[in-house]
Amino acid sequence: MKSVRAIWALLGSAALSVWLLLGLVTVLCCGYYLFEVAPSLYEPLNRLLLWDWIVSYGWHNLSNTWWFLLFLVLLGLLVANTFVCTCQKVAALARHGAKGSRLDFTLRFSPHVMHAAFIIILASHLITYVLGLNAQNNLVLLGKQSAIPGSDIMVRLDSIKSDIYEGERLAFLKGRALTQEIALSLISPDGAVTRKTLAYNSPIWHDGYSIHLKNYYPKAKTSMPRRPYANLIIRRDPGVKTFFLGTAVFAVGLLAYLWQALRLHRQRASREALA
Amino acid sequence: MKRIIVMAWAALLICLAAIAPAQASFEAIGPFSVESRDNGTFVLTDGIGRRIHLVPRGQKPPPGVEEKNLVRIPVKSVATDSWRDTSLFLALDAIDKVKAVTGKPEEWIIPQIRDGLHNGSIVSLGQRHGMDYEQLVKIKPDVFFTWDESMIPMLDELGIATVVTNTDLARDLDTQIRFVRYLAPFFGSFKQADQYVAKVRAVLEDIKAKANGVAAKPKVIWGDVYSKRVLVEPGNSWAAQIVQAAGGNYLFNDVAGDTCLEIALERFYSSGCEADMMITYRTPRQGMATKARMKATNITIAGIKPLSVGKVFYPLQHYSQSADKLDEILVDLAAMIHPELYPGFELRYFVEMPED
Repeated sequence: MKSVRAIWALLGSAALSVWLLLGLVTVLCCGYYLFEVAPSLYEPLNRLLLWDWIVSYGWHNLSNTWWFLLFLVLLGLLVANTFVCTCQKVAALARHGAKGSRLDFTLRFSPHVMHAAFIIILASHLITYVLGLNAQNNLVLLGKQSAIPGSDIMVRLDSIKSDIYEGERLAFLKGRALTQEIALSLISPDGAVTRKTLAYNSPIWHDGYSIHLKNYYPKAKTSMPRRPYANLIIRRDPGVKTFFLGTAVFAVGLLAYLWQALRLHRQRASREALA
Repeated sequence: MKRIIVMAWAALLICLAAIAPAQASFEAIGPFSVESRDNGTFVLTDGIGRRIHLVPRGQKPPPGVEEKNLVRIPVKSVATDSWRDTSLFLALDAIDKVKAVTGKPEEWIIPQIRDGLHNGSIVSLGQRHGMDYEQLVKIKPDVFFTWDESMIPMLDELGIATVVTNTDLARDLDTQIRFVRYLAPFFGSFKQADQYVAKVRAVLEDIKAKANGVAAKPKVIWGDVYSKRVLVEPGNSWAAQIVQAAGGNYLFNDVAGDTCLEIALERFYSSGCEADMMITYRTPRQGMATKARMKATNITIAGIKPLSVGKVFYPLQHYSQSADKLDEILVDLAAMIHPELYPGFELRYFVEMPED
């Protein structure tokens, strides 16, 4: 019990926050240089879940990746530190009760709301990188269909239309696609068909999945003969709702903090005017 | 306080110990990876990030692995549409496993393939863009090595495992050298792969040592000129890195991306005006036999230095089927950049483009 109390006290210390933040800055500075040395080690983070990356690329290249693992540990400690500090301060505020108006008392919680939002946002990223789906390279030929990984939903490639550049000013672009419309049919297990159009900068959302265009063919008016296809990235981000919640909570905390600051400024100004 | 710190370290060590046995061995080879497991299986990541499971014949595959992502090893038959990969099978003593290729016999330089196509022991699948799938089904290779990701759905339907050996980003020099280790588990040719890597690395070290003593760094560009476009080898490519290692100054070092990357004509022209030497993949077979022809193809860049006072080199036909001789190719490139370091050396894979 004594140890638990000691850990709680240590995690709630403001000095720990300073050391952790300094540590994070140092580790990220090291990471800046180490990343430059071997960027290909980190590229798989785009397609692998965090744990899969840690036990493969991370663990087997510790001479380069140590900074990232240490960064995660420090970030975890910072979250614990923030959580404990927030709990301690909120408890202290609640204990002392409202001394001024009820509104003043409520607004005093605003920094702690922002701290809570910080924890929620980091947790949302953790949820996505630990529990999400990031299926790269789902190739669909024109007129064919393929299953969305981990579901019974089928995706069919109906057509590929490109807006071709026909101008003369940019000679190298002539005859090549400026924009594209990849028509997909999403077929549910009950046979219901939903038609949606995909482009590089316009992913589509369907039943909790987001579908992004990675590559397609043909991209030009005259191309090497090949089968028309679309290569899709299919993702499921279970943390995305938590992320939006965290952002909303942060916005509320920030607005409340701003309101409190303006109120205090106004009160101070009126006090000075009276004096 | 001390006890807490000790406890924290203990927790960290326990976590690390939990990770340690998760994998016996893992090797990242650029975007490719090879993970070997204790039960003799391998999990490979191909050029576009797909996971392929290699399972010894007679052994039960891991649960949940689809047939299309499963290859039985050692493989007995291979199909491929890649010249480069096929030549690496020579280095792995596995050329006899090739049972189907694309292209006509006269397009092949590798004697085993050319003869096999003539005597029928190897099947031609036709051209890459119009492959004869009926022939492929008859052969039913254990694995198909391809550079073309659009092959995957069709080969999945045919129940043939596909390995994409092309990558989104240009391969760097280290990946180019070690790629043979990615292919080794398919054939069990680990010793041959190690020998190949050791041989090429030794040559590379020799090239670097020779270039170290030279102060002058010739400026080099590597690109292909078309009528309205120019493509270059980016700074992250093996081509750029060997130029640097051989004592050259690669002028597109600031460009990054896929191999044969398109850049603006202005950028090409600006570096081209400084360059002493240009290397191009455009050859007489593609109608680019002389510097005069190249100037006429794209008049905008006709004023670049290699096309007037500098040198232009292009690869000979057997270059693209000589990945098993990467060490010799590297020496050729080094000798092109600093001929004074290699007196009397005769190029084997490249040739200088004539003026007219």
